Amino acid sequence: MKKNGFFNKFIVALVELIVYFYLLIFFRIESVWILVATILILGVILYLSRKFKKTFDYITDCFNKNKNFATFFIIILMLAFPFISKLIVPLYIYWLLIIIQTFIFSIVALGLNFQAGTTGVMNLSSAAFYGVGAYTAGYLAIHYKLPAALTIPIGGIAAAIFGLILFIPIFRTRGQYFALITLAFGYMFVLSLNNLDFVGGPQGLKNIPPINLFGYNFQKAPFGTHFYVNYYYLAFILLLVALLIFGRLYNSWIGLTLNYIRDDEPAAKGCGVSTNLWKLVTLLIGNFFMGVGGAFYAHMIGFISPPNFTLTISLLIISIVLLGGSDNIIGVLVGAFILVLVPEKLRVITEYRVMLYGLLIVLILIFRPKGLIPFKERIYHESIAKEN
Amino acid sequence: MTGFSVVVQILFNGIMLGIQYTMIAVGFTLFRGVLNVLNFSHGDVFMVGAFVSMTLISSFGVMSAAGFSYIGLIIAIFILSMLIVGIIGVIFERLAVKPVSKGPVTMSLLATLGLGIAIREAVRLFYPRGSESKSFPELFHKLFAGTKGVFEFGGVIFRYENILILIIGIVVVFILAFFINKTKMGLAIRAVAQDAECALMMGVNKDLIIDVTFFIGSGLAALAAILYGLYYNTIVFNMGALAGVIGLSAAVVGGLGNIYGAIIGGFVFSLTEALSAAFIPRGSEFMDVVAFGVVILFLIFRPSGILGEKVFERV
Repeated sequence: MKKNGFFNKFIVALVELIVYFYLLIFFRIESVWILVATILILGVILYLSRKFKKTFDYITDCFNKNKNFATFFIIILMLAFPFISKLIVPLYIYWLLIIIQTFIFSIVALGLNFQAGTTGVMNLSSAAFYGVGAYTAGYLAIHYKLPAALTIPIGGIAAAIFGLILFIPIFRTRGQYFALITLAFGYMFVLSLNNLDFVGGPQGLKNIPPINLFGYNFQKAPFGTHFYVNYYYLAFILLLVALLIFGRLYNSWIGLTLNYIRDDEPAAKGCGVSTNLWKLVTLLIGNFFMGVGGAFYAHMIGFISPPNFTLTISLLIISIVLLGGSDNIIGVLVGAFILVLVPEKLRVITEYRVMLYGLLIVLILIFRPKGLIPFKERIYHESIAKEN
Repeated sequence: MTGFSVVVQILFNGIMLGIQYTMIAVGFTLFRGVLNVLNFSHGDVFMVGAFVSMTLISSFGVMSAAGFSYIGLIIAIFILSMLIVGIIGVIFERLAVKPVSKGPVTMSLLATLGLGIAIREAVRLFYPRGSESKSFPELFHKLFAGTKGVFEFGGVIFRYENILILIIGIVVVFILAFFINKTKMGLAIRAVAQDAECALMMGVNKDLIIDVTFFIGSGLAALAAILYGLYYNTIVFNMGALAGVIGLSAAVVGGLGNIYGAIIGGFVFSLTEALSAAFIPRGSEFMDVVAFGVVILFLIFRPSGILGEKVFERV
């Protein structure tokens, strides 16, 4: 194909716009049939991508060549989302809330993806660390009147430090035994929350003050919209920061080292990689982002209680990582959108939701163990890529 | 009550729990042996066992109309529940556990967790009024109809029913140990657990052995569930989650892959619970926390468990 930069950019923008407006229509139409239609459309696209392979390769090529432009354009579109959705979607406030939750779960799942996907440290108590962040932020905000600008980072740091409890297990065990420890750890966390009175026991923490950032009250609705718009932007910024950090980490020598530990730990040790140190680093960084997500959630919802942090939530986060494809940052975003947004459309069968999560995990692991978007082999130089 | 009788009472409660934990833990140990999977759905199979046996006992009237005697009915209920749940266990193994067992171990662990959740929710949604906790019907009450139902020994009150539960549990565990260690089928199970490929070459039908193992493990879980129901008198759809984690923890503490390890682990876990409930302030609320803490310590400092062999790192 000719290197027609402008035309390529146009195609990228067009594809993104189509997806974007399809999402808006998806939100607008109340009926469940839109979901059926979506699945059909995806099927047709999959079929067409087989049939017109060249055209599709060309489009993906456009995206690969204009990565910066594609990212930039998506960010612009997402920034405009609250205002455009207000025009098109009648219930936009509700969907805004759902999208904020998607962002929060994406941040948490990115943290888990860094641990379970990149390093292979299977942490089954992600909800517990998410909960540590939420409870820390809530407690500090209620009892010490700390502003959200402090409580959110402190929530993250608390989750990271709390994760240090696992530092001996992570040195001495691996694989399923470590997973078992984290599982027991998650149970201990919820059991303790239920019985500790200073965090409210089963009642949880109530009336957590909303975010008030540098004198700007988040309960005020900007430009005649709704106050969720404030939270939307903050969550979006946090997500972008998380994406930036994890993207940089993945593409650096650190990401490579961590992949090495995941694929063959004894060999990594043999090559002089300090596996224990790196596993600890992964645990700290991943937990930090889980805690940040939890702290943000606590401030936004204003009420947290132990059922928000049980094993079911851990499994939801894990299924986000697995569905998208572990060790794949874009995959995590896709997984979060599917697993948090789609169930909202399925409110008729909301009772069956948890069962479907369970079945979904089993089915993914049987039929597509690498997720919807499997991670690609790392390519370091184009000449190597051509050889393969 | 004197201090001594309190201790005896605590120990007795611990032993009652321990025999149930043991029977769940045995399943984990067996599955881990033949398939190299930590099968987390086992706790929920245990829960299914409780619901199946409850349904069977509720249909007592129908069955006694068919001409069974009382004792015969009790035995029929035990055998039927074990059979049904055993078959359910084999179906789950065929559908979900075996297909994922070829992948990485953590992935299969995750898949069985997901399977467990699906089973739990299915019971909640599809069993009539499944989201409520159910009262488990009495089974042995007519056996002790003429007596007071309790006797006192050294200031401690024992219920005949509990003694009977304990005896059943101990007998079954010994039968199982005999089966695994002395019979040909048990030998085949141990052979598959030790080296599946070599066992195949020696003419062992591996798939059959896996099925048999899941049948036995699930049947034992059903038995544990009946004993649990008779002991606590209430069952609820999500009781399997905690029971599963406890059973697995017990198996790990004792040493995975060793039947006697599962027995020891079950009692270590239950006695830790009972003692911490008794001697730690507010211990009854934190007893599971303490018990899980003990398990984590075990995993850290002796991951192979009390009776397990030393694990070497394979490269």
